[in-house]
Parts: sequence; structure tokens; C-alpha cells
Amino acid sequence: MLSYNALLEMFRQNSVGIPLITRKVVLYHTATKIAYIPPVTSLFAKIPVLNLIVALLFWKPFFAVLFAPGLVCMLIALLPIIWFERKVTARVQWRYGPLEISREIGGLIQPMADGMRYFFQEVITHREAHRPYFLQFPLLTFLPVLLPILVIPAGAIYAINTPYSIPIAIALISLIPMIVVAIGWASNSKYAYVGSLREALMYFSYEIILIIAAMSMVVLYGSANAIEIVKEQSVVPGIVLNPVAALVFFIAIIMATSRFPFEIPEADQEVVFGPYIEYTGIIFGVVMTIAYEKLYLLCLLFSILFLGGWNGPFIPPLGDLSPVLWLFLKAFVLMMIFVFFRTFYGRYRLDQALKIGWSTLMGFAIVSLGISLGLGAINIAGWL
Amino acid sequence: MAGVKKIKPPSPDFLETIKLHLDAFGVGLREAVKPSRMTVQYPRELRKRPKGFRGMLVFDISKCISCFQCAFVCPANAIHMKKAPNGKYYPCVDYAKCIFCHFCRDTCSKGAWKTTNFMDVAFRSVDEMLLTTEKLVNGPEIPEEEREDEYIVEYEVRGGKLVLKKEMSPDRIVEVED
Repeated sequence: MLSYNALLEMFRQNSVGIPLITRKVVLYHTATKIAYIPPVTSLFAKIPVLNLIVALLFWKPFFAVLFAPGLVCMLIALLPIIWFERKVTARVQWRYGPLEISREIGGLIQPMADGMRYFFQEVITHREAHRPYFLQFPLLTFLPVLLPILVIPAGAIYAINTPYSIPIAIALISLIPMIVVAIGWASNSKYAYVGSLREALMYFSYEIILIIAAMSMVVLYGSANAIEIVKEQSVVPGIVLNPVAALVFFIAIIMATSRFPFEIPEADQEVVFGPYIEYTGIIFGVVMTIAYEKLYLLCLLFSILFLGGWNGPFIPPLGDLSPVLWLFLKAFVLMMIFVFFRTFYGRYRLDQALKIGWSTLMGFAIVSLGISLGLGAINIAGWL
Repeated sequence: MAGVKKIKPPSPDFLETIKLHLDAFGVGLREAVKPSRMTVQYPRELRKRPKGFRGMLVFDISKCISCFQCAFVCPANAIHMKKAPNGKYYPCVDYAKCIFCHFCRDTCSKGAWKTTNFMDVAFRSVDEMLLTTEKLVNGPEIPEEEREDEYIVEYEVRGGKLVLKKEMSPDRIVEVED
């Protein structure tokens, strides 16, 4: 059992260093007198309970999951990406998209307005639903969505530094389709049933190639630790060394997050949002964002494996947040590319998607594994 | 079967498929950067009405000879004749029935009916849609504070391509035309 002070000391030892908010701000400076605003973190340093809470918030594992690159960053990425998806699709299809709610900024606050509407909408549980599961599963999705953040590091901010971080992250992300299938079962309706079957079949078609593509990069760098993988990419990013693996991982992400042209489980023209059809209100708001949250996680993984992760110019005022910023920007640009496919693609049939996954992409995945084995054998990562 | 043309489904090979994907991506990018959309944002932009547009009717009471021809020819039975204090009969138009065919204007031997370039009107009730002769003489009017239009837009063919031409909205939007 830790004492209060020991706990406080433990949090403070491993806290996030952001000079922007932990530095004193000097107001004026004369020969005899210095007046300054004390840093935000030391405001509560002497107050018994608040200092523990502040220290906990800035404790690295907690900060990683809750703020950056965790929940808060995810929400920050989510709102503009939903707006961007609707807006760019409208532009390409010669429409205007969301506009009326704030004309001056092009309807940017539309997702926020939608979310607010979800909050005040009635949550209806229909009579046939398996009520406890129907209401529980959407909230349970936060487990597989937030747990991978524990092992996805961002520079100095990480929760767990383990040599198996990439496999653990992929394994935890793979739990999300289970919840989606369970949601479809708990809804107990025709469309939800068809949707969850489609989700299961898509899961079957992309999961193997996603794992092979990620593992080929692990083979190439000879380590499954994300921190070491990013360190190896300080000069040449992984996409140059093994572009085939990058392509396979890219297409697997499209399939995994049901973006076009593989938007098969949620196909709104056919099965009307598939597994999520029976949800209303804020619970619908939660389940609708599952695919985007998964997209965010996989984009973090893509930028760590192929784009050099958090490598980028160091920004002194941000301190530990500087690598997080680079990782976030890379992931955000990737997300923009992924949602852009909605604009010009149609939708593949289920059997076509299955065939692509198990023939062409499987071939590419095995080729990428071969390339990685060859490059790993001559230890190219060590040469560069 | 003669005259039936059979079309085979396209079966592109691997390289061709990649080229088609890239083409689609290029089209998407081009349209995202410079969309060739031609949506008219209606309350703020009005389409330019062509010459001879069949809009709301304006009635010139001094030319009317009470011949009833407009009421006879009206295919929707929208025109009623009403007795005025001077003993003559003058038309009233029920816009709940009017189909804007302008047969009344064509059939009038004295040219008492005129048209406007405007038909974006709203009524609060069905009863209000029956316009009496007094209201028909004045024609439709839009108060300045209720106008939302900023531009008048027009589709134009420029070099074989359809483009949208914008110009500022005039001060007076309703124009009466003979």
C-alpha cells in the first residue's frame, strides 16, 4: 500500500513536461523585483487533494490514454474529419454539403450540432432487443478503442513500453469487430443481422493481410517495439523500404474501417447502417463513431510503421507534446485521405471484397513479407 | 435477333485496373480542388428568368371590356368574374387553381393581361390565394426587408461547357412585361 506522498511522488516523477504551461511567465523585471505568474501546475501544489488530481492528470500513462494521443485527441480529430468527409464528398459530387449552420466557416460546427441533437434525442430500445446487451455493447467499445493507446507510444508519452507493442495493439484493435457483431446480435432485427454478418465476413477478409503487413515491418526492423521501430526510421521512412507492405496495410485499413469502396457492413443504401440500424439518440452517436475511432487508431499505427511516427522538427515550447503533434498531424492527413475515397468510389459486392482480400492482397502481403525477410537478412535498417 | 446489340462486360487486366483506379482518383482530386458544381443557392441566388416567362399575372383594368374570354378559356377554372360597382364584370384569379398556362393572356383581345418575371410567392392561407381584381392590378410586390437575394445567376454555354454566370441582384426584382 502506497502512502499519499509516495503516490504523489510517483506521479510527479513520471509526469509530462510541457514548458508552455509549466514555465513561469515573467510580467516585469527590475533590478530589485521580479513579478511573474506562477505556472498552472504549481497552483495546486500545496492543496491536499487537488495536487494529487493534477499530478494524476499529468502522469504519463494517464495523460497518454486520456489526452494525447488518446481520447481528447481522438475527439479533436473526429469532429473535423466527419465535417471534411461530408464537405469534400459534396464538392466532388457538385453539391455544397453542410453549410447553413455557420456559413462564414463553411458549416464546420455541423458535427458538434449533430452531437448536441443526439444528446437531446430519446434513446429508444425496441421490444425485440436484448435490452441489457443492446445498451451495454456501445459503451463497451471504449475498451478496445482506448486500450491500444496504452501500447501505442507518442515520443516520450507512453503508458507501457513493451517489446510486443505492435502485436498487442493490433490484437486489441481486432476486438472491435467482435463488439460490432455483438451489437448486431443484440439489436435482433433483420437489417442488423445482415449487417453484422457482413461485418464478420469483412473481418474474415482483411484481418489476415493486416496482420501479415504489420508483421512484415516488424520482421524488417527486427523489433516489435514501436519506439525502436520509429527510431530506426529516423532517416528513411518504412514506406520507402517496403512500399508493398504499405499498400497492403493501406487497403486493409480501408476494409477494416468500412470506408469506400469497402463500405459493405454499413451500406446505407442496402442495409441502412447495418448493425447500428436500431440505435437512436446519443447511443447512435457513440456507435456511429466506432469506425472513425478505429480509423484513428489504425492511422496512428500506419504512421508509426511506415511514415516515421513522431519524427519531425522539435518544437521547444511544446516539449513532450511536440512528437505527439507530429504523430497526430500525420494520422490526421492519413484520415483525410481515407475519407476522401467516399467521393469517387462505388461499393464492391461482398464476394468481390472477399476475393480481393484472399487473392490479390494476400499475394501482395506474402510478397511484402518476402521483401522484408530479404531486407531484414541484409540488415538494411542498420545500414541506413 | 436482328437489331439487338450485345455488349460484353468490361474485363480489364491488372495494369488496366490500376490505371482506372488512378483515373478515378484524379477525377476526385480535380473536382475537390475546383468543383464544376452549378447549384443555385435559392433564397440567396435567383435564376435569371427568360423573356416571356409565365409568372404572376398583372391586370390592366382600363383595357378590359368584360368579354369573359379569359374565364371561358381557363383550363383550371381559376378565373372568376366579379361584378364591380360600375356594373362591369372583372376577373379574379384563384392561385390555388392557376396552372400558369397564360391562356388568359393569349386569348385577351385587348391585351389587358400582362406577365411578370416572378412567381416565388407564398400565401398564409388558401383563402388568400384568391386574388381579387384590386390586388391583380398592382401585381406581386416584395418588401425590401424580406428580400434575401444577392445574386442573379444564369447558365451559359462557354466553349461547349455549361458554366454558371453570376451578377448582382437588381434593386427592383419584379418586372412587368407586355
